[in-house]
Amino acid sequence: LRPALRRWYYAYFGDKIGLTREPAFIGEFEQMVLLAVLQLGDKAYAVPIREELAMRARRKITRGALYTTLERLEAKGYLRSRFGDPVPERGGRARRYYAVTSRGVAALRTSREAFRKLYQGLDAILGEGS
Amino acid sequence: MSHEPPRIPERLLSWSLRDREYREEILGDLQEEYASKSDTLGRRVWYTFEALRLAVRFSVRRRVNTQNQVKEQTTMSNLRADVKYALRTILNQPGFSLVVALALALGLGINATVFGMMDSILLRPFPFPEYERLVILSEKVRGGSERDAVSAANFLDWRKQSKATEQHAAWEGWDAALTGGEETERLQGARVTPGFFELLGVRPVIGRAFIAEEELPGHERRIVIGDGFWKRRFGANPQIVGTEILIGGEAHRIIGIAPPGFDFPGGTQIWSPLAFTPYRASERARRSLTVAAKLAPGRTVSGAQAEADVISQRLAQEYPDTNRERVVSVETLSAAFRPGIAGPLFWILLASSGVVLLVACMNIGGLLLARGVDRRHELALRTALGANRMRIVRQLVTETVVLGLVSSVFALLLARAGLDVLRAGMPADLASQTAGWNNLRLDSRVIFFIPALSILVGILMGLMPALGAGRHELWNVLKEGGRSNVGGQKRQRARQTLVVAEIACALALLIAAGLTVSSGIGLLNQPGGFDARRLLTLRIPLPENQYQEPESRREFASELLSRLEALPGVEGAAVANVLPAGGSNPLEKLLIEDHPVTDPAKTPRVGYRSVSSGFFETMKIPILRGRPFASSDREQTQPVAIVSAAMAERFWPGRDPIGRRLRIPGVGEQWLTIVGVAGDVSMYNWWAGIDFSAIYVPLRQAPPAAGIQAVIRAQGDPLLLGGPVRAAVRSINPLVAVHKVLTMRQAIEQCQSGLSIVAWLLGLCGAVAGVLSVVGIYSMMSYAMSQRRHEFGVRMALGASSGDVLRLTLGQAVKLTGTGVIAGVLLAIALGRMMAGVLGVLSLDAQVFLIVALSLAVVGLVAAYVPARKALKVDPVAVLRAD
Repeated sequence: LRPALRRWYYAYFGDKIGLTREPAFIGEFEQMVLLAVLQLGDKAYAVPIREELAMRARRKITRGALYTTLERLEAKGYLRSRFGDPVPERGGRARRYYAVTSRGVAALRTSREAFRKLYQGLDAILGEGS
Repeated sequence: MSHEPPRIPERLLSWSLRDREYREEILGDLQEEYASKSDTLGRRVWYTFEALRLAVRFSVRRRVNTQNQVKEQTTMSNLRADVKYALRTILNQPGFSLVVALALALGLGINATVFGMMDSILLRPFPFPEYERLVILSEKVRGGSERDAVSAANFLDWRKQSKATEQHAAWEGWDAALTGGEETERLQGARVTPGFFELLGVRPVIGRAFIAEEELPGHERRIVIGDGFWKRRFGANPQIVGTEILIGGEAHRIIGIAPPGFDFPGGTQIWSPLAFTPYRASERARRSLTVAAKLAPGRTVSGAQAEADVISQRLAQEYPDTNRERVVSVETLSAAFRPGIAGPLFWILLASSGVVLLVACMNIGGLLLARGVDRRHELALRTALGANRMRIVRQLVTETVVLGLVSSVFALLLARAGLDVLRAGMPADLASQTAGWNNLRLDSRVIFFIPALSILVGILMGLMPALGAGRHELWNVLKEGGRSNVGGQKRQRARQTLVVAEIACALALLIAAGLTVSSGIGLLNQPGGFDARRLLTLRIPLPENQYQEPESRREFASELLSRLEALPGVEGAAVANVLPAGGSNPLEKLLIEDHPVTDPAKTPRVGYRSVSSGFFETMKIPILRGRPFASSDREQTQPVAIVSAAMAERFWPGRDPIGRRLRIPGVGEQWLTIVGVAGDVSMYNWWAGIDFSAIYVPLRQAPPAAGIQAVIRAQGDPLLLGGPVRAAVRSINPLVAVHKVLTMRQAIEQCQSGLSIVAWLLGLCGAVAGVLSVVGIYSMMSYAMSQRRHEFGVRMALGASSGDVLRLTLGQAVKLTGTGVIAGVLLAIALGRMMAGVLGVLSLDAQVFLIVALSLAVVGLVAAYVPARKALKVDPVAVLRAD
């Protein structure tokens, strides 16, 4: 229960107590979603994104969390989305395809750079191959 | 194959997604994945689960951390702000809030108690699994309403032939005399067919239940004992299983121990197998069994009834002698075991507790209306600052709902205490006969019911002042500066109406309680038709294996009488099948020679009492006509009977019943001649309605069944005879147990306890309502006084004496109280009539009406006088200067 409470608390009061993440930085999970979107190219909508994350990153995430993250990333300007044509097996609904914006690519670069610097010289402890 | 996902979850999810684009995206994604799955059932479950999960997520945390956060979150944050504001307001006025919360807690607490009681006794009297599938099968005369017991042969046939019901079990009562100890102890036992425990879903905690072969004769000396008996007698020693104890002088092996709390049917502590001898298994005329079964899967009570009708028709053709005109009735277990009076009684109690809640709400409504005036400024200011009407209403409602929730916590605590008191307050043997009484507790349903009720009440109460608050006051309030009273007229009238209604409701409840108490006292003190002083009563169940023959029971009774009469200090003694206040009033059907009955369902039934010849003399029951029984009324002489005055009046109004003849088919075939008329005797069974019709037959000509009751008139204190009487019984047969050795007064008081619980609850309801309404009068008056201080100041400055002003204000209070009292009396008459229909003993006692109405009026006026007096002490100059 406690993590849930904390998440709730941050979501509501986070901005007031200065605990929200800096917009320039993106969290680990957001990075993963952006990378998955890039991997999928022009076939990136929620269903394959989730599969991609499960397959490549071994992260099983709930649908709700994914939609929230996609929405947040779009709101921050890292993603943009467009609707495709209606699909019969979706009950005539269209797919919403996501693509990473240039700002998103830049943010990924910043993150990778930050991680690269932090990882530097730690091969002795962490081993090769990252 | 259709790829349409389940509709309801889809709708729900769609509804929770406000944004059209997200709806399209998410619903589409989900349906696409749904379509890609093949397992038909599995994917529906999957879809439902996922959709619900998403719906919850998106309706609770609607789009967190997005840019349109502010717009989307206003509802939640408004609610949060409202709750915060409400808590602040509540804490700022601790006195007011406490009064409101306590009033509400009292109202809700009483409702929770009554609902809890109703829940335990009416709705879920038995803690058995799948109890809603359990049914009771009983025999009935075609067209009749009385349930009869079932004969062994019919039970066996039903069991064989029924498809709609399964796992049939039957049982009959068994007075087990536990011997081998210092004194023979009587235990309430039951003989049950082996499937009994399995049917009820009960498994012994230690050892086993009965197995099928124990239904055959020769294996029946096995017992399962109850948890209470096990702990009391054997100190909860688990080693006791497998050992033997003596019951009625015969060794019975203990094979299992029932789980704690299991005492079905009605307080049973010891169970043994019901073994049908071939003779018994073919008997159709002797009806002594209660039969239960479980509805087969998918079958309903009415389906089972239809099947039972077919079976009973078949049996009627096959065995016309015993089964002609007899049908089977199928009822649910809880319906069959519900005390007949419990339903209406609970409706009365529920209605009363509802009225208490209503009074509490009106009271709080009055307080809120008053405070609404005080808060006009605050609300007007908020309106001026841009709050719309809806917003303000919502805030006020939030306040009362929060208050309601707080008080529901108190209410649940109150209810828990109340139910504990009720459970402990009922005498043990009565409690065990009221199915569910021992399970009285605050269960989850009450715990959900009360907060839900409190939210509802909170919304209603909040709306009351809120509806008057938002409108057309802004300008006036701001214009007026600080002065009050504009627009108060309407509120004033609303408050007055509330106070009148409160007084009326409280008065009606108090009178109803008073009537119940007075009829209870009346029942206690009513002439019972005999002299209850210095009487000792006792019950003697005879072990059935030793007293199977009527001859042996007759023998025992006369032996007992002669020994009892020989005891020093005994003025007289008698034996009967049942005594007044003996806990029951067995009825028998009558065939009267000059009252032929064509419809067997309409055969008259009267109380049946088989008494020893000294009965009327010992009890001091007057013989109004004819003669009492004499020792010359023996087996071989002419069969005789004595009827009660009420029965004589019922069948032979204005004529002489003596010499007329009648037959009691349930007892014997011979015709009895009426030789006397005895005075009416009360059996004190208020729950069955009071009926004085009774027929007495001499014990020698009609020996009682296995249980007999004895009554002894002492020369001194009857309780001193307890020891010698027990010793006398033991000296005849050490295997016979004696129980319920009570004076007649004690027995009568025990009969009352159910009624006194009703009176106690009604009284509590009335008292709470009364206090609340008095508080209502007081607060309304003191508020009106404070509002009119200015006016009084002016009046007094212009020369009015304080007496004049007092008369003016009290005049209003008298008018309100008077109206309330008149309305209350009318309401009470209606309520009393309704209750008299349920409780036969209730009569509309004018004295009670007068006393209760007057005292409430006086208290109400005092409550009005105190604040009026205080208001007048104010110096007019000071008041006027304050403006």
